[in-house]
Amino acid sequence: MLENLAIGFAAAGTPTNLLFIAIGTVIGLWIGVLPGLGATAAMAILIPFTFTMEPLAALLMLASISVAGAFGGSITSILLNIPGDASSAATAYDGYPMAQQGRARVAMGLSTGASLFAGIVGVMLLAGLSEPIAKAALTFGPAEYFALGMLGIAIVAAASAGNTVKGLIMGALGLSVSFVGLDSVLGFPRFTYGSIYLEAGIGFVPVTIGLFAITEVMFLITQGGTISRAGRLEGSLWEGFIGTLRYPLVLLQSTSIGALIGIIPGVGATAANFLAYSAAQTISKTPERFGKGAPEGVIAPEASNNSCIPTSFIPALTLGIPGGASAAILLVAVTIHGLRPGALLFQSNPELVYGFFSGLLIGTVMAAILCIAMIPLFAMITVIRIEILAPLLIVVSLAGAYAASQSLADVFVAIAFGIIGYIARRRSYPVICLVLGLILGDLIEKSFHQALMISGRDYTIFLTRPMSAVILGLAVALVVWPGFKRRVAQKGED
Amino acid sequence: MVARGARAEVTIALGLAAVFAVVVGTALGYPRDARLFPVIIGTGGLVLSLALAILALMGRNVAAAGTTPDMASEEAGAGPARFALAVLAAPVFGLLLWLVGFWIATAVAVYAIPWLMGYRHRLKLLLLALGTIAAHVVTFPLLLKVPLPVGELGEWFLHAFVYAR
Repeated sequence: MLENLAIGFAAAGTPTNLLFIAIGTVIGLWIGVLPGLGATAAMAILIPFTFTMEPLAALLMLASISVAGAFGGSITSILLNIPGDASSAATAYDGYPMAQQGRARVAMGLSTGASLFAGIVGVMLLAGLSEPIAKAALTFGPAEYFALGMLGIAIVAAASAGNTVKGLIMGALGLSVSFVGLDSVLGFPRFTYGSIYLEAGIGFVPVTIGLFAITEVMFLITQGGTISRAGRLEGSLWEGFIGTLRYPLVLLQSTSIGALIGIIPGVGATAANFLAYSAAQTISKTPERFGKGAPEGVIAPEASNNSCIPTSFIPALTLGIPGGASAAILLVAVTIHGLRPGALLFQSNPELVYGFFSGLLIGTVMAAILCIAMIPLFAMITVIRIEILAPLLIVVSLAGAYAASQSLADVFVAIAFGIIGYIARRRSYPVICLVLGLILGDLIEKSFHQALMISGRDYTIFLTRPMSAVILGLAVALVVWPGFKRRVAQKGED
Repeated sequence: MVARGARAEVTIALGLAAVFAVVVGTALGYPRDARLFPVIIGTGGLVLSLALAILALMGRNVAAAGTTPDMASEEAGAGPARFALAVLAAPVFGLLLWLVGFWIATAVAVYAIPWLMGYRHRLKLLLLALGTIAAHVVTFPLLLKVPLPVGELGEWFLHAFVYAR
């Protein structure tokens, strides 16, 4: 692994790549600081800018946004009790009380220290575990790939607490959108209604920009005012930064929880954030301090979400199944650059893969340094009025949607999906399932047909191949389990 | 009597059911291999959407489907005009993009949206519009070599007055 990382450092350490890592880190930190504007939206906006870039530089810039976004997301959680990103929500539980007690600097130091440690561990795990998982993926046949695709959608749907059915519906909608265009098996035009534009299919880029960026702008306009209601920023980070090491058990436990959740496709850093917080409270000898400014209450969620992000790239790179929204967008970028995720990527492009891992490591350290130095500046944008911010975001997003294939139709697709995303989010339909369905649609359908061809149209192939049966069983269990548990609990109450 | 939240829930679920019905109905006219997967997924989506609509009519699952507290506070603070602006800003910008091109559409959006939201500093808005246009000129046509659309009217103008010469 170290030898491969050395190759990676050589590839990632070129001035151009370092520049793009730095750009991604700055953007990620900036966007992470903005409540409501997650790193995912920034990645979606910037995808079109990566078209003309080298694949490694493009992936590093996008991944650095995601990594740095998690760093920045905690800042407003602590200072304003407003999570910069959903994955930093639990950080506010103890970070904000610390700020109220005049210990905002300490809280931000704890957050940065925990994020740096967990980010580095996460990247090391990504580098160490990706290849074995990728090799295991080589033994998978079409039936297993079909099952994995379905599992990805099932996990995300099941993780949408209380909205599993809605998640499945959105997944089916995403798959339906992926059917538009030439059929991948026969080349037959489907759902094109005579339109040449639709024959090429509906692209990931306008859909992603619509669902994340345009939807976000709509919410911001409705909200009005400024992003930040407070507006004063203060704090030196060092006391907390070093203080992180006083809680090694919480740090290790939370990092492990985040890393494990990241590997499971679709669960994401938000779940890791809350789970690690609960686990830290459980093992604490003084759990009553939680919620009142306990340092462990800041370390746990921040360590978990920062170790979760790098490991969420493992299923994306090795199996083509994104571990979360950021990984889904990274997967879009990988596909756009003509690369196919999977074991072959590691064999045919080792410099790219290990350059990506090494670049992430550099990005994590860079994010911590920038975090310490520049947070007060970044936070200034939270006092810019939404009246100013909203039109700028619309212009940048839709210019990006147009630039992707220089098609005005893409702009209207982005707007349409922005409206769909707005309605979906208001009614708690998880839009990530739609994106996942769209991304995985081609893989799922192609694998489905290939498996049927191999079996002579025998549908039992999905159940007679052990691995496929296990994965599909897991997918069904994930979907059915919450409802079953609820029913049992209801019966118990009766 | 169906509650307001449930009514919205039923409407959306039925809308989704209609989309899946179209998927199935259209796919049935395709060759066997091309229609197989869309029919399976469309039928699954149709069944789930109808089930969701029925559950909402029965008054179940609406709590899980409701808006989050953040959204509720947004709704409370936003009047119909602000809501309309949130929903229409991007589509109107898209229409302007098609009609008058990127540069004019951007200038209008950067000036008009803040104005409609109650921000009245004319000079600042003018500078912001010019700055946004300048940043996009540098980024797209100059750096990325991607020309941005000039719009139907812009095309007509160019053909009538520039190319004609």
